Amino acid sequence: MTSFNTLFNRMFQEKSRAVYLIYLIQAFSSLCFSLWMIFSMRGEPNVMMINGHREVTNHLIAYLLIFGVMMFITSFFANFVYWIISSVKNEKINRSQTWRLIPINDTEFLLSNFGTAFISYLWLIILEGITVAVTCLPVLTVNEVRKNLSGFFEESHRLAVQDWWSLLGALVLVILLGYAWYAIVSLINLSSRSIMDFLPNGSSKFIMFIVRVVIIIAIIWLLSKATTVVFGAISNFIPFLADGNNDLQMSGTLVAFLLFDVVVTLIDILLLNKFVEAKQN
Amino acid sequence: MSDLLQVKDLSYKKNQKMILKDVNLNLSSGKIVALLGENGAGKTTLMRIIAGVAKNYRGEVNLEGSTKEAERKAKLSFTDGLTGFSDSTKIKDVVKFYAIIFQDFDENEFTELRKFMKLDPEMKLSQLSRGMREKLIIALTFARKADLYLLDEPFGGIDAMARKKIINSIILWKEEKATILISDHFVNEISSLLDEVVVVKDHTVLEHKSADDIRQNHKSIEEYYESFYADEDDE
Repeated sequence: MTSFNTLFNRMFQEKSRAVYLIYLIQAFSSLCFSLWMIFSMRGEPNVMMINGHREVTNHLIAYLLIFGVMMFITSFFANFVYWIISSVKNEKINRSQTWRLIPINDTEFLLSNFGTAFISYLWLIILEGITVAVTCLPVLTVNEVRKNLSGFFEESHRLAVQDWWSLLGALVLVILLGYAWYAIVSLINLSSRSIMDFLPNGSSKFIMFIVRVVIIIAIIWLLSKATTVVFGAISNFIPFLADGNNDLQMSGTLVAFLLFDVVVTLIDILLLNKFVEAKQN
Repeated sequence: MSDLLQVKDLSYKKNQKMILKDVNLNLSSGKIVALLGENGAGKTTLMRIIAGVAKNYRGEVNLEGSTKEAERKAKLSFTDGLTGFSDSTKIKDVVKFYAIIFQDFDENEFTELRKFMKLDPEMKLSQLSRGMREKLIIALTFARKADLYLLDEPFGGIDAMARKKIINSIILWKEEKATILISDHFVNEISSLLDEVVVVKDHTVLEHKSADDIRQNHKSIEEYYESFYADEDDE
């Protein structure tokens, strides 16, 4: 039998290729945008206005800063592209005979597939973060920038423990939402595949298309109903929610999303285990 | 001798069409078995069910005491079309994948087989002709030390000379206890290898006979196989 770690590492290798490709394209486009910005600044990209002060720095620092800012701006688009590509890749793996022949149970297979897509996403964010940090670091040599930053850090030290918990909660929520995205895409794909395998042979492509659209609408409707039910149940379970206690509200939301992720994953596993075949070569 | 593979009351339907119905098949260890049948008879489906990649079937498949699909997959080696790899993947990268994923994959054995098949590890999958791709698939399949080898029409694109060489060597590549189930249209060419013949017709296993019995009662295995379709030809 193949271990979960072995499969996870191999799937991560596969998906990180998309990460490197997206990162390279992002870096190249950021470079192009930076050059365009620099030329449109009429030769004065090294002049910065900070709190009304005119700061002049050297050209290299200014170029690097512009590149870093461009990397940050393009990261939103790059991350969106990654989500789409990784979702398609996940579904290809779910149906690939090459992957499905691996001796591992379907639960571990699916969790490895979702998990590696998400970890690869975090890897993309880390790469982008490091690039932005490294390219923006030299700007710290500018006095006004340093002053502003130290002011910001002093403010952040004054944050209450509750604020840090809220930040942590928000981070967990992002992870649960990210996982939910992959689980829902799989639910739509796997359930429509399963249903289409039951349709009579020779159904036209148009009918297949209609079936798929109906399934997608039905699943979205079911998911919205399920979300309402889950959130309703959670709010009943935690009676203080109505009082506006932020911590409890956040906990309630996290528990609801966790439950939602677990339920959708269980349905995905059932579909993969019982109904969805590997695509014939 | 206990059976290596037991398929019991297996039925499989797809798109409301019956593909396999009440299939029962027992294979013992150390045999080379031909799975014969016309196109669409259900040979590939039967292999895919045994391999655990076709779902939603009724009945039981037991491979050396394992009924769970994941456990079966660990004990068998199936000719996969390598569609999970992009065309730009090099042979050496496919081998790396197999070596990491399958514990029973023997890289030295693969190197021997690769040399025999005259395959360059630096070649990309897109550079391989159909025959070369099939040679690679055969090499990858036999580089695993499995109990059961499922070969689904493995020689379709391979030229006659290489095919003959490969067929003659297959017996050397498998462990003594391992069984090979092979579906192929070149009945005459594989007939000398065979210990048993299984005929799939009318959605089920119609006959399962020893090759020696067939040779005694018919001129050849091909003739025996063709006798199942004699009535249809007359019509």
